[in-house]
Amino acid sequence: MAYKLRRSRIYVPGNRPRMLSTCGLFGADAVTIDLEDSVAPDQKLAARWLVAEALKELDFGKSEITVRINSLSTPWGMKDLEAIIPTKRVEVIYLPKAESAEDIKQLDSVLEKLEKENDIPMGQTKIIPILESAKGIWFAYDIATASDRVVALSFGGEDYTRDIGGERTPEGTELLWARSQLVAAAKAAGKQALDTVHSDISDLEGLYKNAVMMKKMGFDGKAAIHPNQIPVIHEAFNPTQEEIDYALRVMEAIEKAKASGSGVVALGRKMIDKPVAEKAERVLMIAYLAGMIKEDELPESIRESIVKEGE
Amino acid sequence: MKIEKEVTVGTEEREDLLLTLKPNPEGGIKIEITGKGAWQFKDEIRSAVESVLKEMGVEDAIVEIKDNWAFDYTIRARTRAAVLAAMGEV
Repeated sequence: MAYKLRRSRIYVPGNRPRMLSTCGLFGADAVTIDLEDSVAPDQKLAARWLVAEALKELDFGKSEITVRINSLSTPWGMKDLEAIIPTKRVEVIYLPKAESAEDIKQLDSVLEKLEKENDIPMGQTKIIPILESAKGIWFAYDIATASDRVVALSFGGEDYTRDIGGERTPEGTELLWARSQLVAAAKAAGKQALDTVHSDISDLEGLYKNAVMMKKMGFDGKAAIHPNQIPVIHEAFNPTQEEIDYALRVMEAIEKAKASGSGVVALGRKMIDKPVAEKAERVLMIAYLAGMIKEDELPESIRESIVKEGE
Repeated sequence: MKIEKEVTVGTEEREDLLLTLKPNPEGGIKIEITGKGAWQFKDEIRSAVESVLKEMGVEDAIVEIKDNWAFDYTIRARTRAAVLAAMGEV
């Protein structure tokens, strides 16, 4: 089971050298270098080349390197790709304001061309569309399945609320359907679901509560706009000790049943069906990738898939 | 290539620099470096700027730099962006 840890990603404004040079130290699962909303129109050119040079030079630690480009319908989106893809460092492109399968197919074909021109293995650059409008949310499944490059769907809550003519509330009721739809579409397509930012950087308690709820809703991670938010998001999205213990018991029961040739797996008086087994595998994989359990504590079946992925 | 338009890129923030690129009516490349890192890294800054100008084929320009401890990649990026901006790119 291939699993990429995407609990947190930190947004870094693309035109701020000091933030670019330090963001790899924050310990986020990904850095998202931003060329879009945090860069004023008259700074787009300067930011684009700063990011391109930074990508060639800087160490981003263990964080996945992702860049939020400008939409391809702006004068900047294509130029962003032409500047950053040749650096061969970009793992994921975040595409803002994705509203249709066509938007993804267009980006896919540009990436294909740039990969070919720059001797980058075909399909290496992944895509995470940001759904931040009513239309984007409505067509979530089409967007998620438009290209094999799409590895997750990401939600943009502020713009979505504006687009539907709603109002942000502390409870987030206005986002409930969109979040549910995004998760269902992503999971139906076999992709991850990533939640929007928590804008109040001083409210770490509110962030934690929200992130715990998003994990329960099926999200795999959440965006951060301040380094202080990263450990809070990790704590919320990491499995609890209880979840890990239960997952280990599930996997043990499965292996015992397999060894005894029994087709029926039970844990106590509870039947273990496929979704329960898959959840247990996912919990253990996240716990392992998050450093909560060691490789030798994992059931053999999961250890094997880690080796395969590393090859 | 001659620079015919004045442009400024960058900021005065730490690890950045403010770079102004101007036409040089007398011809040739003239680079003036001030700011916090200038006393220590003038030669390195000059060499980074010159290499980008050469790569981009710029032969006549005045470059004014106010440095605030910018790294090499930032100096190169700001120089490249200034030349492209002077050429009208967005």
